[in-house]
Amino acid sequence: MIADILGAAVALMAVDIILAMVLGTLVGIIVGALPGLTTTIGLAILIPLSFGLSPLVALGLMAGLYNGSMYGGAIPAVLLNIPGTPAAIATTFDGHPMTQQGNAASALRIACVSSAMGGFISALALLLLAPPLSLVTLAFGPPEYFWIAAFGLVSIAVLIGGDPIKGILSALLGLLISSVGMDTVTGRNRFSFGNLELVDGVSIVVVLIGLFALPRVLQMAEDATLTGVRVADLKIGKGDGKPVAFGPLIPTWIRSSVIGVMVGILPGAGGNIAAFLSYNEAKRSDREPDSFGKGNPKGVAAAETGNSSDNAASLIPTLTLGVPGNAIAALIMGGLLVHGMQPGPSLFRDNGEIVYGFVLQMMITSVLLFALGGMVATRLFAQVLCVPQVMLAPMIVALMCLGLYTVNNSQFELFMMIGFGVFGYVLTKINFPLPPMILGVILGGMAEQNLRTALLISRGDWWHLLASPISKGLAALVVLVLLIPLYRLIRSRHTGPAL
Amino acid sequence: MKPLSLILAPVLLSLSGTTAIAQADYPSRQIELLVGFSAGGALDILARQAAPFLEKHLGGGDVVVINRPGAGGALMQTQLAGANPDGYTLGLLSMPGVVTVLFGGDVDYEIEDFEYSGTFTFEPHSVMVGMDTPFETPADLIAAARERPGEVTLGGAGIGSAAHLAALVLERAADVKFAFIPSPGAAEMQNQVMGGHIDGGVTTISSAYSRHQEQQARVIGTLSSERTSVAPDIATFAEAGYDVEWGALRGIAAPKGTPPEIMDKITEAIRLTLDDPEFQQIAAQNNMLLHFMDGDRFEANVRDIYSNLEEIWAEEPWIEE
Repeated sequence: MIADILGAAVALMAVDIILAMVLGTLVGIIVGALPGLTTTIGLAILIPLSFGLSPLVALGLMAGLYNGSMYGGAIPAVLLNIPGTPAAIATTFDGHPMTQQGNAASALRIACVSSAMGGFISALALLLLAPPLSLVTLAFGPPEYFWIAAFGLVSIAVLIGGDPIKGILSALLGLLISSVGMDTVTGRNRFSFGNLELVDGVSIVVVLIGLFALPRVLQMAEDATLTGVRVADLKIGKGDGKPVAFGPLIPTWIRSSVIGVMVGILPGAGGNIAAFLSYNEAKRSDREPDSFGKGNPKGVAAAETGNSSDNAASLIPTLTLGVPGNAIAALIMGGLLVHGMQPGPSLFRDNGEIVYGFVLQMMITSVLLFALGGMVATRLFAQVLCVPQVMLAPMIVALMCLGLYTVNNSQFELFMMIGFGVFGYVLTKINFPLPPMILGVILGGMAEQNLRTALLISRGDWWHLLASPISKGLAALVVLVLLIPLYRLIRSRHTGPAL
Repeated sequence: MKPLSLILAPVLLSLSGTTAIAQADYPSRQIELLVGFSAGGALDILARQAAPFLEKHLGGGDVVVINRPGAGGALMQTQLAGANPDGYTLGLLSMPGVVTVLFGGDVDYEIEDFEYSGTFTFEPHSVMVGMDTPFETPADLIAAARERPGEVTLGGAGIGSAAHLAALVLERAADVKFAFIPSPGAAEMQNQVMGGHIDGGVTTISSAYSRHQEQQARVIGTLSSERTSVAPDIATFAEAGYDVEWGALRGIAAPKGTPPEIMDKITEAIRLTLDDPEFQQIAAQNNMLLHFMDGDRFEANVRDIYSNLEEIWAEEPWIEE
């Protein structure tokens, strides 16, 4: 193994491979930064183009694109309050308030360093712990996945905000949206109204752009701010007087990386769940949870570390078991197959040099983010804010539509996105929190599918949900998360009024 | 004033002339090859790898792969059925999926809406079981299912999917009942089998066989009459006395009414692609089971699948209405 890693490191020292990594990372940052264009689309377009390249050049491009796009999503999230990718939703919570306070440069720098940190730790886990971690993947069956989804759903409470009724309604609406489409257990269509386009349900990208990007653009047009913010005001670049204090972020980085890696090795979960969970944990464990959502640097760090530390970890089941956990992993697996490498337990043995090369590339491109993301991209993208908002708004809409259409070549999805956009705009106007809804959409299907599959396997025996030790542990966590606020409430009533 | 026909005659002549020339010229511009599944899937990989060879053997015109995923491929097939039959919109179809979605859903195309030009691959489905299960042969599995009806869990991608129908066909051939556990996709099913959450699962032999070679799961048999060239050591259910033939047949079709001259050119390009040593090498790397059928045989096969499924649907519809 060590010989393979060293061999791989030497093999990476070629001009074309280094160029591929730099180029991949830059393209990735751009893909991530454009709302609508996601990592999946970027890779889907890139992989057929890379058929003719040598394996390490092609894989270098893929690694760069993957890591770059996870950070890229944070740029519009911080600057415009529009998440570039689904995984960057949690980044908007504190990232945009920081921009409003004139700290855009710090927010972007924290996002960049946190992304790099998460990506690096994730790649380290892939390099050193892939075989043992892949056993965890296999230990998770339908009951265990059900509990993970349930844990995510009870965590929504943290995101609900000031008005609990509206927050809960929003989450329930999300669950309702997630029930559209074919019922996988019976094969019957639900809420599809005879329309084939709805048989697969509502795509998360449609909901994301509709709820998070379009209302924001409508708001921009409404404000009709004719003059943009000047770059100088944002204190971007070396002129930044006060350096960002990274020290206090170290515990956040560690906690969020662990969460990201654990979510990553579970097929089907993905970066958006990792970002939400690590944001929730950062908020819950902080001494001042109320400072989150108002421009707390730790919020940005938690979200960005969380979504990036999912990256390499999500490739662990793909590379070691040969079974892709999500669309991105499936594409990378396709890229490996094209170059004659069959993912599975023997992959590291038979193609050690190339596979370890790829793992090292995941690591190197994370580090490249420091340079490319921090220095080049941030300054470049911050120029966006100089554009008057009335001009910026239509440009964003055009890019959104283009990006969305590229996913499935579907006009129907464009109209659906606009529908969600108008709906989201109305909800924002009456102060409905939108994050609980998107979590409902993401987790609702996961919870339902796994609950019903588990009951199908046990032929209706509900105790099957608590059969394994992992299920018991996760169920206990769910109960704890539900009971802790209650306990605190009771205790504060006993000891006097709360804060 | 000239009669209308005199004015129209040259127009009509030139129109028919251009169609004839268009057919002789074919292909003179970009050809769209529609795929009903997302980028990265088995069908998409086949399309993208075959596209450059089709280009080469059609002699002109780019072949561009367009993904139109949704409703198990039905969105793409609906679009293909309604496309202009000029040979510039083609679809890569995967049987029996194209036929299975016709039952119990809201699909409004028919198998008659296409001209069939030829096939690339036929991959039999196979049954894989966990390493910890006692099943070593097709007979073991059938015996267990007979002893405990509806208790042996067999996974596969979704209700009404090719894998689900494969399990149904096997149940009928052996007169047993499994507990079919639908999963979002073949990958999830494989994880569940390897983790011991379900007894076994159904998927194509090329994807199951890699798991068998790596000793992560055991493939006990293919649903075919003959053993496959990628997995010659795997027995068939036919050898054990259960006569089933079920697998994924992938080939190109065009909208109904595409001129026969153009259809012949496409069939010829598919045949030349399959004979191309360079393509054969790529196929071998990807564990593809190449299998050429011309348009007529492809169509006959599709009709067989349809009548087969019609019969099963009449007796035990797999989606309640």
